[in-house]
Amino acid sequence: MSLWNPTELRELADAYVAGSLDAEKLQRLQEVLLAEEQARVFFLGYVDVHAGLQWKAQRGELDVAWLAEEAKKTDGVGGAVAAVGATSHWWRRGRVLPVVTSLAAAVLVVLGVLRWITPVGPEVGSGEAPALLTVSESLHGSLLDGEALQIGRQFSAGPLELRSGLVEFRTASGTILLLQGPARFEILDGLRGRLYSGNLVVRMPKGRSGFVVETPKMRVTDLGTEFGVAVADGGESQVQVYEGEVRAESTITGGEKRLKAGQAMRSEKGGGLVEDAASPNSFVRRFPPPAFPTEPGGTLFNTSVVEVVQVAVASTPVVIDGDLSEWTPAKPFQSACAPPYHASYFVEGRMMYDANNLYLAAHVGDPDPMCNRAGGIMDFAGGSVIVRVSTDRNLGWPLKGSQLDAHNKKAPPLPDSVSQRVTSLILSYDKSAEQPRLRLQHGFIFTPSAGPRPPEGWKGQFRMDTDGRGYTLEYAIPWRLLNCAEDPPRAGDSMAALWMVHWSDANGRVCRGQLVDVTSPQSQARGISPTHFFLHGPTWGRAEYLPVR
Amino acid sequence: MRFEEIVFIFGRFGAVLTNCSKAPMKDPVSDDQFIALLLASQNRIFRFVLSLVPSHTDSEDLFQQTCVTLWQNRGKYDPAAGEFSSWAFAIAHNHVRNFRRKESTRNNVFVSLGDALEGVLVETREAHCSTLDEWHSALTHCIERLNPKQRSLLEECYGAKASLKEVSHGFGYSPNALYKTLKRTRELLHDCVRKTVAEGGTV
Repeated sequence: MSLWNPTELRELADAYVAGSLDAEKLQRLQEVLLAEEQARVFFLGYVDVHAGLQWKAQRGELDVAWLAEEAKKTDGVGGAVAAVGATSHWWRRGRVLPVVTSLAAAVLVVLGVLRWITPVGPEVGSGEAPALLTVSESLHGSLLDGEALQIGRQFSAGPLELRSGLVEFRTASGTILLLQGPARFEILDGLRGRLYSGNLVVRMPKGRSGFVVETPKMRVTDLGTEFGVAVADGGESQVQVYEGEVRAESTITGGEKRLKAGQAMRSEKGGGLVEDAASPNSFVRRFPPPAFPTEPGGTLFNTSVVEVVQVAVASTPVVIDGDLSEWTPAKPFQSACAPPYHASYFVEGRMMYDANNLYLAAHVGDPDPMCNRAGGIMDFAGGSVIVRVSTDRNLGWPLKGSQLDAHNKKAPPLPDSVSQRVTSLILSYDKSAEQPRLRLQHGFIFTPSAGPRPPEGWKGQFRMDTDGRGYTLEYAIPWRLLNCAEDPPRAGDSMAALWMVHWSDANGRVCRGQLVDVTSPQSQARGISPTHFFLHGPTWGRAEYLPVR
Repeated sequence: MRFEEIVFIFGRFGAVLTNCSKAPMKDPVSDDQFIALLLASQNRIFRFVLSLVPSHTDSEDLFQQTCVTLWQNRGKYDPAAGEFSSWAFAIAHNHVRNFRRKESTRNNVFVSLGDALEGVLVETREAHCSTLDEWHSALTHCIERLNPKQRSLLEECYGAKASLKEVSHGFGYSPNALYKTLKRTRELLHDCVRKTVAEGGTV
C-alpha cells in the first residue's frame, strides 16, 4: 500500500522550495521520499518546475514585456506587474546577446555572469508618487501615538516621530533611510531631511548622490555613499561614513570637512566639528531577514557562546514575584543576538533547585515584551523562553536521543529519545489572559504531560522592565511535573539542557527571531542548523547541579 | 551596468579562459567539445543543485561554482567512464556538501533533507534523467499556456531581485496571497508538464 498521496507530497514539496518547511514537515517529507521511488520522481518533477522557472527567469525567458498592454486590458494589477517587468530587465533583451559569439562568451553564459548585470531599480516619477517616503520594512516600528507602522504606509513632506522600533523608508529616487526609534525626523523633499533626534542611516543607490541630512548643528551632504547620523537630545550630532564620502558642515561656525569611509565626526557644544572614533556597530545598517517565508521559530540571530549552566541550590525560600533579589547563589549566563541587535535582544538566564522544585529565571531584552497572543502548540511564537532539560542521570551527557530516532519505524528508539524525563518547559506570558503560562512536553516525541492541562502546582511571574524594552520571568516547577519527584537531580549531576528564546512581532503572534544557546561544543560539526538543535539531543549543552555552598 | 562594463567583464573572463585552456589535457575531449557538453547539461546541473538547495541565490552561486570547477577539471573528465551529467552531478554534490558545512559553522539557517535521502534522490534523478528532461522541455509549452497575469507574476517573483514580500507589496498583494497564487501556478505547471509528456508531448 502506498504511503503517500500526491496532494500532501506537493504541499511538502512546495514548502521545501518556498523555504517554509518546519521540522515536522521535514520529517514527513523524509519519510515519504525514503519510502517510495515513485514519490521521489514526483517530488523531483515538482522541484524541477521551480528550478525551471528560476532558470528561465534568470535568463530572460520569462520576459513579459510584450504582454504589458494585454495585461493592462485584462487586469489592473497584472498590468502593473507587466509594466514593471518591461522596465526592470532591459538587459535581458537585445543588448547583451550580440556579445555572446565566441567560445569564451558561451562559457560566460554558462557561468551565469549575466545575472550580475543588474540595473538600478526602476525610476518612479515624482508625478506618479507624490509621497516622499514609503515604509518598506518595519521591525516593531510605531509612531508617537502608538500606531504601528505598516509596510507601504506613505509620508509626504513633514515631521515624523518614531516612538520605537526600526523602520526602513524608501524615497522615490531609491534612497534608503533606516530610522531607529526613538527618533524625530522631518522629510523636506526627495533629497533632504532633518533629523532632530535619534539615529538615521542613509544609503543611496549606486551612482547617485546628493541627499542632505540637516541636524541642529550639522549639515551632512552625501557624495555617493552610505552614512549614519545620530543626534542626541541636546542637539549634539555625529556622522559616521560607511562607504564613499560625505561633506559635513557646521551650521553654527560654517566650518566644513570631508569624511571618507571609516571616518566619523561630531559637533562640539560650540558647534565646531571634531574627529570622532568610528564604531562599526554605532548604527543599525541592515534589516533583519524578512519573516516571510520563515520557520515557525523565526530566523536565528545568535551564535552560541554557552556550554554549561550552573544550577545553584536555592539556599533561601524563593518568592516567585519577578524580583530576582534572592537569586544571588545562581550564576547567570548571558547570550545575545549578533550585532547590531545585541543591545535590544538578549537573555540573562539563571537556574536553581532544591528538594522540591526546579527554579528558572531570565531577564530578556525585548522591544515588544509580554505581548504573546499566540496559542496552542504555537504559543512559543508570540515571545517565549523555552528551557529543555534532562532529569535522568542515567541518560548521562551528551544525550543520544533525537526526534528522528524517536520516530524510527525500523528499530526500537533509544531510551533517550522517548524518556519522559527529558522535558521541554515553554514559558510565556499570555497577554490575552494577562497571566504567565507553562506548557510541558516530554521526550523527543514531545508528548504533552499526563494529568491536568495546564499542569498544576507550578508558580510563575513576569515583570516588565521599567523602560518597556524587556521583561523578567521567574518560575518554580515541582519535580513532579518533570517526572522525577522520586529521584530529583542532586549535587554533582551533569545533565543535558538547552535554552531557546523567541521574539515576536508587535502583535505577539508571529515569531520574528530566535536565540539558541547552552549547546554542546561539538554541535557545530554535526551539520545541523541550531534552530533544529531541540530535535537532536547530542547538540544540547549541560546543566551542572552545584552542591550547597 | 553599462555596455562597456559588460564588455570589460567579458574580456577579463576571456583572459581567464585563455589561461585555463593552456592546462594539459589528459583526455580526448577538446575544449570545444567540453563546452558543448557543458552547455547541453547546464540546465540539468542547475536543476540538480536546486533540488538539494532550493534557495534562489544559493543555488545560483553553487551552480556557478560547479561550472567553474567542471571547467578547471575538464582534463579529468573521461567520456569512457560514464555520462557527463553523472560526473557533473558528483562535483555539484560536493559543492552542496561544502556549502552545508560552511553554513552550519556560521550557524546559518537552512533545511537539509539529510545525507541518506540526498543520496537516494541523486540516484533517482540519474535513473529518471530522461523523464525529468522531458518534463523540463514541456515546461516552456506549459508556461505559454498560462494567462498574461500568471506569467507576469512568475516573471516578477522569479526574475526580480526583490523578495516575495517586496514584490507583493509593490503590487498590492498580501505576502500570503502572493505565495498562494505562486503555489497554484507551480501546481498548474506541474500537472501540465506531466500531462503533456504522458500524452506524447508537444515539444
